[in-house]
Amino acid sequence: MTSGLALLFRPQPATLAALPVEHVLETMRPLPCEPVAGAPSFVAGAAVIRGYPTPIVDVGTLLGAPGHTQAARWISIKVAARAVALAVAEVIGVRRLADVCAEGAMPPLLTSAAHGAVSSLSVLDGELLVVLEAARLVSDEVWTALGEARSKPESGGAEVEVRDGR
Amino acid sequence: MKSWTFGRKLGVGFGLTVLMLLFVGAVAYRSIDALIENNKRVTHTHVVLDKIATTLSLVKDAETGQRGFTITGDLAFLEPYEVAVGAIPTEIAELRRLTADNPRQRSRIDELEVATRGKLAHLREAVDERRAHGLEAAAKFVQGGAGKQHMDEIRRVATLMDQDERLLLDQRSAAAEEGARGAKLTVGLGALVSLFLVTAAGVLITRSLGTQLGAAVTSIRSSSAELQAAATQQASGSREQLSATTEVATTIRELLATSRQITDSAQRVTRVAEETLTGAKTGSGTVQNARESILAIKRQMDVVVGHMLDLGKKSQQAGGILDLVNELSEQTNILAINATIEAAGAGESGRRFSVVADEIRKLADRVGGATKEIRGIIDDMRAAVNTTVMATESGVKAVDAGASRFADVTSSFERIASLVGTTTEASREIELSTKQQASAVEQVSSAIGNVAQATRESDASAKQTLQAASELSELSRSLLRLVDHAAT
Repeated sequence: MTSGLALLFRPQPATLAALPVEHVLETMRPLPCEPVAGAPSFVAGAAVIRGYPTPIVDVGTLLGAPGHTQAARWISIKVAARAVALAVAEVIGVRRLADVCAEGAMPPLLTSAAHGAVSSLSVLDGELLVVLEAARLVSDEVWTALGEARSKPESGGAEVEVRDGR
Repeated sequence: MKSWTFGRKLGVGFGLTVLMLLFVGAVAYRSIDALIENNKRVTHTHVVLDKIATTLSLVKDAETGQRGFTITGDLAFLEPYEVAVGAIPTEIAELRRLTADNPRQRSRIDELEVATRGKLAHLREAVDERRAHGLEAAAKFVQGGAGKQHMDEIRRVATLMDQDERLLLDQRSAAAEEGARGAKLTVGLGALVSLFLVTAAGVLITRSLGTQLGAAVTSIRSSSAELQAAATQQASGSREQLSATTEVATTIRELLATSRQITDSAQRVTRVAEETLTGAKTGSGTVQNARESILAIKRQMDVVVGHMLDLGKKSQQAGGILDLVNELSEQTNILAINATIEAAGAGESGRRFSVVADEIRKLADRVGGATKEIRGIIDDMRAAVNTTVMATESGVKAVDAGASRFADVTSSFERIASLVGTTTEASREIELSTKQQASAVEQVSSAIGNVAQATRESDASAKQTLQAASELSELSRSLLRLVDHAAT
């Protein structure tokens, strides 16, 4: 987090999360999404964004919430050379985290939580703020599964289910 | 003869007896009449004998008076002479009248009259001689003997007449005795025959009547027993009838009171029905006015529904516009956030842009919030409009139903008015009928009173009948004993 700016959003209505703005490409409305066979449960599927197939990560599921999030926005981020879209309930805006909260170190027992995607925990306006690590949101197994899905378009096409609003 | 009635038998028996008594009476009447006639004749003969004797005695009295005067010269001795001289012609005339039916006695009376007249003339001459010439001349005149001759002639004629009369007396006495014997015989025989006939008729009638009367009395006894039983039943029935009549009279009086109450109730019903008819007519007019008001309300409600539908359409259009505004705000929000992100990537040079983009995002958020509020308001308004439209439609339907029901109510009021009119007529008829019924019940009550009186009289009559039947039964038993005794 070089600039100290972060994009605040709510993966679910009761959860407040933040992501460094350097990883954020854009926000958008949800697009048609196809499920990906063999992907973890927090991967809602894949969608074509800006001409590229992009995995859709349900951040609420990733953080341990039961069920899938009723996403109102997608947040497109870049992880290395790839793009990932986060399905969230609401995008609040860009904030400088140093202005609004004190960044705290992760407790050792929580470092492996959420597949290691949580970089730190903080408090914003009396509300818990989860600061995510973009590089760990999508594991290699997900990219592998996505790649296998693309290599088998017949079978993948057969499994793809277009969901409106996702 | 067995088939003869009692009256015929008694008539025949007493008729024979009466005929016999008439015969005996006629015979006795004739005998007694003859006997009376003979007695009259006997009496007539005795009267004639008495007149002959009287005449002879008067002549003797005249001679005795003349002789006393001649001897004494005292005029007092001439009194019998004077009486006899006056009475002798009368006695002779009476004798002539009494013997007018006997020619022989009549001729002798002529002789007696001549002799008597000569005797009386001689006596007068003797008296005159005594007066004129004294005793000696008179004695000398008497000694001439003419007076004795006259007197002898008189005695001779008188004796003959007396003998004839006594002969007639004997004949007439014998005839009277003969008639009395015939009458006695006739009456006795007639009495015996009548007694025999009466006895025979009595025996025959007694036997016949005893037989028939026995059967009749037996029948009367049986009938009297039946009559007694019937009278007992009639008396019991009369008492029960009297009791029932009393109960009926009581019931009739109660019925009369009830009829009068019904009459009063019918009159009240009539008045109430008339008032109800007036009220129903007023209510019908009121309902008609209310129906017209409801129809006016329905028309206003239709106008309100039209306006509400227009309002709903307008709010729907506003909602569409608001959707567009919301869409624009969302797009603006997304673009503002993306602009902020891009500005953050631009470093220090994009800071001012970031501020502008953030302000745009805030405006977009406020627009979004406002659109949400407007959406809520519009949704509330549309819901309210829908609710109002539905309520209005329900109201219209209710008004339609109300109008229809008011029509029904109007029809019902008209029917009520008609029915109340019918009810009024019916109640009047009921009132009239009840009055007639009360009058009839009064007549029935009067008739029941008469029936009760008749029943009491019937009860008294039944008791009298029972007593008469008992007496008749006792009488029939006594009569039967008499008849049986007579028959045996």
